[in-house]
Amino acid sequence: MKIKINNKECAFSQGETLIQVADRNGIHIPRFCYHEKLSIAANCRMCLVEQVGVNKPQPACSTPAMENQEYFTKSDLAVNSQKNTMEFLLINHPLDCPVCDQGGMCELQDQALMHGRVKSRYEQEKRVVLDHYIGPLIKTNMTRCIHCTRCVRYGEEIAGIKEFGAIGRGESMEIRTYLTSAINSPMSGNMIDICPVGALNAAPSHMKGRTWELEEVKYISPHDCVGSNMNLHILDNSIFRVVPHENKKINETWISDRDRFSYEAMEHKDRVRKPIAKINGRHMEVEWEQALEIIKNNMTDIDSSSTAGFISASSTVEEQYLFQKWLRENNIFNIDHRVSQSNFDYDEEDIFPKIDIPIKDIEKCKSILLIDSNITYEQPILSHKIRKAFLNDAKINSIHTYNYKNNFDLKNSLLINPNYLAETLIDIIEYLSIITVNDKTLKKFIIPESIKKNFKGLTNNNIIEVSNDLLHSNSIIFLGSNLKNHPDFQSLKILTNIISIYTKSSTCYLGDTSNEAGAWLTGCLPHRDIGNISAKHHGLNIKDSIIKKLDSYIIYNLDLIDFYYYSEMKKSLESAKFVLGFQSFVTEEDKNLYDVILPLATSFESPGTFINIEKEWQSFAQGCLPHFDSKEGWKILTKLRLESGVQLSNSLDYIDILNEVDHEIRNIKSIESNKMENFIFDVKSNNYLTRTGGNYCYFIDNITRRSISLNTVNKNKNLVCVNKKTLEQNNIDLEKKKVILKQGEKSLLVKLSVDENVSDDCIYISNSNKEHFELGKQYQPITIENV
Amino acid sequence: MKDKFNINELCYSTLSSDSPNSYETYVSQGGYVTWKKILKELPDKKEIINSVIESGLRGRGGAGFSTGRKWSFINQDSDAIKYLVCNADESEPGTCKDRDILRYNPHALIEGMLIASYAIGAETAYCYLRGEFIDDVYTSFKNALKDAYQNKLLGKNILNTDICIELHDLIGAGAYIVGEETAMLESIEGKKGFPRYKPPFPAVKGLFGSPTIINNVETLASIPKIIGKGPDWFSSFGTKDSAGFKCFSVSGHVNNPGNFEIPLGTPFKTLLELAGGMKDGKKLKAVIPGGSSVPVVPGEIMLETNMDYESIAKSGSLLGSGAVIIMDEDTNMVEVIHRIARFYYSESCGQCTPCREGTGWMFKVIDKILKGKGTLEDLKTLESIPKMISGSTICALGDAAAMPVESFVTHYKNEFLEYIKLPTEKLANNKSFSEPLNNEFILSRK
Repeated sequence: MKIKINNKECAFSQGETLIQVADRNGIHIPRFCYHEKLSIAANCRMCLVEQVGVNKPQPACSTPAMENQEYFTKSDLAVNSQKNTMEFLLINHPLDCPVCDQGGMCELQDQALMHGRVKSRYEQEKRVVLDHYIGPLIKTNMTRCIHCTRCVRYGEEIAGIKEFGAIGRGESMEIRTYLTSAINSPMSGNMIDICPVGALNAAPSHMKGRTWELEEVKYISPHDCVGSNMNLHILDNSIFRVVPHENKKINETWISDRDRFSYEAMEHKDRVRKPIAKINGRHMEVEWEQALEIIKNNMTDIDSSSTAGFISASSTVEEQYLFQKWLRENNIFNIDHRVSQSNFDYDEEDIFPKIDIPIKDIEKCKSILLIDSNITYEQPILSHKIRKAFLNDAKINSIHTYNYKNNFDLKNSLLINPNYLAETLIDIIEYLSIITVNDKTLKKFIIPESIKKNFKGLTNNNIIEVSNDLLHSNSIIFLGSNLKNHPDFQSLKILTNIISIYTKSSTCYLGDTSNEAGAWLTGCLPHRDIGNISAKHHGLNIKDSIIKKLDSYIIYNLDLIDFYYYSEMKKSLESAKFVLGFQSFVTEEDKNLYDVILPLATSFESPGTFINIEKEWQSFAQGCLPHFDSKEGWKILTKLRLESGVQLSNSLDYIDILNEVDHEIRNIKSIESNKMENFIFDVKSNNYLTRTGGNYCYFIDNITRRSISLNTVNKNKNLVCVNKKTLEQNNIDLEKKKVILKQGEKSLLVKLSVDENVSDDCIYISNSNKEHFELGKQYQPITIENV
Repeated sequence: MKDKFNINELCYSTLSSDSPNSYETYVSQGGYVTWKKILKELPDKKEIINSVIESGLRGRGGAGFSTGRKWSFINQDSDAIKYLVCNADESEPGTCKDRDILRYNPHALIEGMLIASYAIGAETAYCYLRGEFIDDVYTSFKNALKDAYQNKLLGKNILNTDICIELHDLIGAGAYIVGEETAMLESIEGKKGFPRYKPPFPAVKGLFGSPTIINNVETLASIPKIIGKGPDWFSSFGTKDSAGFKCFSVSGHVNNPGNFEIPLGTPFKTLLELAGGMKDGKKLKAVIPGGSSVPVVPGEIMLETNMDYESIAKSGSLLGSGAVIIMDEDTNMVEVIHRIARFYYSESCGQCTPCREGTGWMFKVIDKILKGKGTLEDLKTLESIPKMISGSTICALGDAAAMPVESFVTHYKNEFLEYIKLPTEKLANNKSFSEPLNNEFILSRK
């Protein structure tokens, strides 16, 4: 089918609107309210064009293209209508472009240049709108609002959390939160991008620079496991702001607030500015040469079998590759990155974070099961895909230990105690084994006896419904990343795998960092070499390395509170002979535990590569030069390798290292199957009061937890939640707002919130500050007492 | 057209009775006979729609679109749920015809809605009343609805047939814009009253995404007699293109203001006589023939005009909702348009730019002129704004706000010029300036 726009013949398909056809053919029609990802509002009236044979101008955004019709976007009628709209828009819009953040990238400014009058005919008072506080991330300047309602539609349609609305009528209509409150959506920052004027601005960069002074560098999210694409905007060698970079396969045009605002941490007071060494028992800043000299001396002295190296799974592929290479060259085999994992059973059959289907296909799934995943806040981009599936009539079920807030509705929501999580999955397996008895393709599959003996007859209808939903074609199971801390983590993984075999569904093991897949593939593990093949020399896993109190430790880009075995780690470091840190940030307290700390550039200041759960390699360039005296990780590690006497065949460019890693990994077929051969499951009957709750979404790594704006978003993040029944059983006085929590020898006075979203016999503590980490571990016994 | 006629023959036929709104009165006048006949004979839906098309009934809400043709847009073959909505959000300044139908002849409306629901295949019908009707009007309709339910004329399996029609009454919250049909649908759905862009039209995608027909109270109340007495009876009144009767709400400087139901095509002079002629025998200056949103017509032209769609269009205005506002020779036209412009400034929903910004601008310019501070430049601006608004908005409110301003400036430009040229004298003579201009509503909005 064909239409003519400005005498140019354009093909279109049924249901397309004029603006879509015009955009595809490179014909620009001005617009404010239209956005390709949002529903049509047709309220700005900027895109009015002429349709031959119709006397009124037609809005291109809402007019469906009609076979053989002719349209003109630059005729007198069209241009006059657009000019009129501009005049109307400008009568109440303040002309404060010189002090507006949007100036220079403003759609209204561009249109005013094209269609605006030189002098305004409007002489009366302009509208002034009071700004309401909507949180630390977005600075409003609502006097500039042109009521296009993009932000309102974004909240309703994309973010799925309706927080903004248009209140009032006519000229006194106002865009604001219904009640004065902070915006809570984990993707709220996108409203700043879609606002066509300067009404919604990024608060951290508000009034700090002009758009034309910025330099753009493509970058990959350092916090999520999907590798959202974004652009760093650099001003004077520091990050001014972060905006999305379109990637249709991953993040479309959105990014999460965490990715957008985490850069603030770069200037945090914890930043390691110069190499630090402990000389004569005192920590002092030293020069690089001196620090390297101390390291060289110590590295020759240490007992390599009693040394362990831990690297962050947020580090780049190159750093991870060089790190394990350097250690293995020095005969150190106790290498690990699984800092938040507690259980290392069935180590050999382990599977790293992955997704079986392309990320963009999640929206096509018809049934989704979430296993204890706070996905909306932890992986907002994946949650957005699930929301799209939900809007597409997918059935979404969840088994969880806390009723997490989602931006989609759940069909079945099973709130259970974490100690019974494995049993619930066994219930599902039991039902599936009965229902699929006639499926010939499953004949070969035998359930391990240790699971079978836990079959106890089904009573729960929800379990049956959840199982039946999974049997639909095109289903996927998400295993939440919080479960890493769970004592049954490995069993849960295997049980999930069995369910997926029965239901032929895809699985996704969520990671909680940006490059966990990279850490596996580069062999940052005691039992796997580069390419995820079995290592020649097996080392100790992280748990054993910590508990056995080795002589020396090397810690790369990790805060101590990143470790599940935090308190044990602290003791081991205290008793160790030599502790070396490669750190971007270190707290005053942790500093004392190190002998040498080398200032590491953050991933913003270094080129690198992240591998996402889809195993997509995404490289990015250096955003800005390293701040202070820090250096890029790949440079430091290469230098150390040279110092330890390794002959490097390549030249010493970053790109050569990337090519080397790429070459080494891609040629190896890695171990991925989950064999289950030796799997023995035993039910633990834990009837104690249990601590639950994962890491707070803005406290997951050393960067996010130092971003000030992000950590002021939620005022209730430090509250400890317990349901009423549990409180009564433990004789807690509800009148008092504070209680004492005890785990082992540690105790903590905390504010309490009565919350029915917590399962029975559980205390929900979001790991949102250091005290919570210091108190003890998750999924472990805890006691609660009156003050 | 018949030469002699009785007034109030169709929608106001119960007015002569002692208790006009009672079920008994309506039944004694042959009410519900048509509905019962339909239930008994179950005629083809298309037959009823064709009768309505033949009768020439045009929508009485203001636009004057053929009612039967509107009904025929519903796809009868589809299984989708269909809805009928009665627009009783009568908010057009000057109009009060629907109020009296709801108050004095609610059963005609109920029967009309039932027949219309049958014809379009709707099982749910809504009657949306304006918020200000909450007292006696709403009570009267509610009681009538209760009586109809008690007599089992609606509900489930009406009179043991397969037909089920539920009729719900709804009361608005007093926004003018909800009288726009798609804004009404939004309001029924529980959302803010913002008009929807078209296409899709409500007959394709309306209430809750289903095909929906929206008709005015007077239109629906005319249906029982049109079907009962036949389309020919109806079209024997009125003119060729404007068939049947129309209720006119006459207000302003007349001796006997009120609602008059007369055949279309009746000369304006006759209507003025029915309303008791000009108050104090003064001269007719101007008439707004169809509610505040239509252009004003100078008195001398109006006296030569007949009250039907075509004649009024010829005189440069619209029949609209049939609210005839009569102004005598002493009327200050600048003050009139100031008041009208203020109404639209306050009632614009704020959705689309030209109306949201333009209504306020027009009011502010008129206000400036009225305060004696206007310039010739302002008058030029005022002439141009309506042209910029009309035709460029989602709904007709933009045009409704623009048309009166445009016509007042065209016909009574000299009065505006007087304000601009002789501000001080005018200020001294005009009593409305002795007190400060009433701006309280602007203040309260801020």
